Amino acid sequence: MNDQPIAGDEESLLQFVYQFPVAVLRMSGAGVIDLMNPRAVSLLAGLGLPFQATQGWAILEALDPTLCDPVRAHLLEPGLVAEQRPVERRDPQGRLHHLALTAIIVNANSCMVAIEDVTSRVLQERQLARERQSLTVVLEALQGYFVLMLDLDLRITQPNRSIERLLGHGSTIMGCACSELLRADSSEPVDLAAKAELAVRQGWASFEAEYRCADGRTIWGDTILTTIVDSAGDPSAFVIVARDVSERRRREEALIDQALTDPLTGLLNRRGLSARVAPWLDEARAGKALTISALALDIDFFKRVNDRYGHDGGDAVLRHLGQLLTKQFRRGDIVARLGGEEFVVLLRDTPDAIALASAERMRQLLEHSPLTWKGETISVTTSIGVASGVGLTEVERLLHDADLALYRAKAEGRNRVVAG
Amino acid sequence: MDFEDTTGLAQLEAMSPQELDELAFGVVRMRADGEVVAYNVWESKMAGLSKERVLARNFFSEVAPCTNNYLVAERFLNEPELDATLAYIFTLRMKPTPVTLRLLRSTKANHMYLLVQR
Repeated sequence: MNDQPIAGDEESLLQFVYQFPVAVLRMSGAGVIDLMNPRAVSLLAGLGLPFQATQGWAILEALDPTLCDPVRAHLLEPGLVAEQRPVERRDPQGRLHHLALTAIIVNANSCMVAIEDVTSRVLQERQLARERQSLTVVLEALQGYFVLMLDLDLRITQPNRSIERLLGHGSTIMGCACSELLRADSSEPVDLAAKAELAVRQGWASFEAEYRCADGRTIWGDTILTTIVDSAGDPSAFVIVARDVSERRRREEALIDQALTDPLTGLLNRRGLSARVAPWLDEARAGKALTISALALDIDFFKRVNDRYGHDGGDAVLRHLGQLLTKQFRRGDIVARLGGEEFVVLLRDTPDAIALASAERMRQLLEHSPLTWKGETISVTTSIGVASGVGLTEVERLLHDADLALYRAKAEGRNRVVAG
Repeated sequence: MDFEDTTGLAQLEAMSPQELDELAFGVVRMRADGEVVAYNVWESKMAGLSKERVLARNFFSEVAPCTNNYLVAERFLNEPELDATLAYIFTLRMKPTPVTLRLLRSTKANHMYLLVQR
């Protein structure tokens, strides 16, 4: 028993060590514990391990036999011999405890041992690891979906298999702005920041967007942008879950194409022409002085073709002209069949002389490209009227002008180009 | 009274704090939740903690964490009728010290007691 008066500082220090939450003990080379804190006794006794002062070696051996010199005559070389070494022990009630064992050999006759019960931390980490793993499995198994984890600045925070599989982007995508994943010249541009604002207000926002793949293709994603909130309820991140609806979009576009296309020649029909020329007229409305040239074509004596070769032969000639037109003009030009044997080509920003020259080339091409059909050779010619206008906000008048020039070409003997 | 007295609990309940101070073993008088009501001189000197630091504190969690396990604290909390004696180690001033503990509790008494003998 200690009869010394209790000094305040010492008492405070004692209490501090009494309440130290990690088990700490010091033992000699002979395995005798000269100092240990209450937590050490509580923890060792609670685990059903030896905890007597003379049982230092037995304690160490029970926790980690590799730390003990088999002869036990002396401690190993000084140093940190174990640092947070994981140890599993079952207590007498059968509950598994995860311990972290740290041992420092100070000198030949002194070893410090710290034991921490980290069971709850280990279980928490395992739970987290399980959740992360199941998320990985989900992302791995998702077919036709991809998931993007975003921070509040809408930057991608982690790559995953679903992105890699559907979009082809690997780990380099990390940190990229999500907006860069969206096709810049999409027919339906998406303002991601505005969608995020909406998602913050109502928890989510849904939209369809065109995403860029690593190989340059794009896919349409039916997208839900969800806000992740922290424990205080404040937004802390966003998640995008997108379903690949490219096939559906393609079908829809094909339907639209069908509505705008002449099935016989594959050229645009009248509605298709209107749809394609609309952006040009918008430019004029926006003040741009755009020149549009119109070539009105009509097959000469088409009735005779029909009479001689039947409607099949007539159709073959129409298809033939359609092919030649497609070959002759550029992708940006508008080539349409308006009905019967009437065709129209619209060119943008083309000087009149060049428009006329291309009309003349087209006339010659048809004249010198007879069609072989069912063993017969069908030769046809075309009359072409050309007109142009600047800053047009509608094309009816221009088409009418081109038609008038076409009539003159017919009247002047056919197989010729006439400028309106 | 002696450490082993069979009528210990009734006797202890009758003793004033001053009378507890005269005993030759440690006595901790607690409420049912572990709050220390009396802490005698013998125990105070041995643990190196003055009464002021201990009274009104929870014995198992704040004063003597070495008892906060199923061998001591859980028995007190789970067994309404308890008179058990066991060998234990107290880390008095961090020196592992073999002690004998007697755990006393009864529904007939207002307090529970931990007796400590070296």
